Amino acid sequence: MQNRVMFLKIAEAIKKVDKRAWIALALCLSLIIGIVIFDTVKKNREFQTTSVAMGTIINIKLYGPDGEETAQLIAENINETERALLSRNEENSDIDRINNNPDTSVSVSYETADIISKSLEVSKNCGGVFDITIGEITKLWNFDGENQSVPAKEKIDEALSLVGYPYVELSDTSVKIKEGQSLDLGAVGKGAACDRIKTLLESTKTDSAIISVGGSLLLYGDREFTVGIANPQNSQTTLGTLELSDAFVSTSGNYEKFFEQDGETYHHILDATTGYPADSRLSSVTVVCDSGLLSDALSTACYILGYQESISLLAKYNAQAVFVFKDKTIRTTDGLRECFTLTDESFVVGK
Amino acid sequence: MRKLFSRTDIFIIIGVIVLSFIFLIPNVFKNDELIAQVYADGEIVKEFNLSEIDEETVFCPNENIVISVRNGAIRFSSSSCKDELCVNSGWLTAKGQTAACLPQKVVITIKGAGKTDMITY
Repeated sequence: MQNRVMFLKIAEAIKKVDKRAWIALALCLSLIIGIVIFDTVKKNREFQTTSVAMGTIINIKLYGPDGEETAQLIAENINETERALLSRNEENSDIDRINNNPDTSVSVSYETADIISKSLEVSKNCGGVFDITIGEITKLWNFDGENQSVPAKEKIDEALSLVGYPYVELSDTSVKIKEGQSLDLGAVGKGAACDRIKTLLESTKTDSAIISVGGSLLLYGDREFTVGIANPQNSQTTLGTLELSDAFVSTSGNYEKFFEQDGETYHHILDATTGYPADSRLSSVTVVCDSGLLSDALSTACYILGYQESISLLAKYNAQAVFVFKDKTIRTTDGLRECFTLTDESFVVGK
Repeated sequence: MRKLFSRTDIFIIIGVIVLSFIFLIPNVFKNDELIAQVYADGEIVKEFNLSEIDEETVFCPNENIVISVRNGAIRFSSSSCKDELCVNSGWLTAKGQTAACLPQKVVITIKGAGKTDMITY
């Protein structure tokens, strides 16, 4: 009975609602539905995937239409960078042909020549601590292999006599190295891959994207991304974040690859002037600039050079950096002060 | 003079406001979920809702790798590779964490990075 009264009351109330109210209600509902649909469509335009290529983890996050196809193109592009251009283990890649034909002018792709040219320029600007002719030394240390040990000093000295960027002759797309030398683009490969991906994305409808090639990042488009800087003591966590858009970010740290022998830790960032792991007060350096190759090369060079000497090098390339010291202090260059946020309170931001 | 809002108008307005929040409810619950994805050769082969797993189970993306899953955590528990780098990564428990077996192209990642989009290392 009570229900019936209630029902009648509601029916009466509905009758009282005038036409304008119904129209208003319809408008409100369509607005809500519109927002929900828009939100769903927007989410569909986000595509995310993870894979393995170039011997490292690739993370891709794309915003815009055709995400899945674009991710496929990116994967192919990275494999191509490895296979045809930069790998020294891949038979007939540009680098493999250069290394196997010393004292001979080897014709390479325009892209490889450009990568070598820019790398040589960085070597020159940093006094040779970073040097792509370090190939024979990295072979001795074998950080990518198993059962590492410290190479004999005589072997390092012998290999060191062959390291030297001035011996590389580059004209247009012809490259010639000295007998006994070998090129290793390991320190710039991931960044160079990011550069190639940017060129690829420009030919797609992608609005914005963030892509990680083994920790070297490409931030594409106007969207602002939050980039975490790995904590050197536990690289699954972050020590701070950077708010950035349209940039390349690369980090070099002593925690990436290392081994221990007789109580000493040997990390993989080799000083090309000594042939040994760089003796640095730093745990890591993160470089932000407008080129993937340069952010990669500069992060390595800055790690080896240390804070003071890095400042002028970074200025030359209009690059910014975050320096993390072993004593857990952090210093950023002026350009990053505003966008850096500390997230791990056990670190201290110095002035 | 006619009132600006009748009582029914006010009910309708309140109704619409309440209705608009209903759409947010699924999102509120979603944010607390910990979803782990297992990729092999770039394809998702398995997804786990780590929040809903009661007892420890294992999953093998191929014959050489064993992945263990328990409430709120996932890890590589064994691999045929000599160095077992993936096993040494340990349990993954937070959004955005990743572990990988590079030789066999298997990656585990916990979806959604919280506030961080990606990590540079």
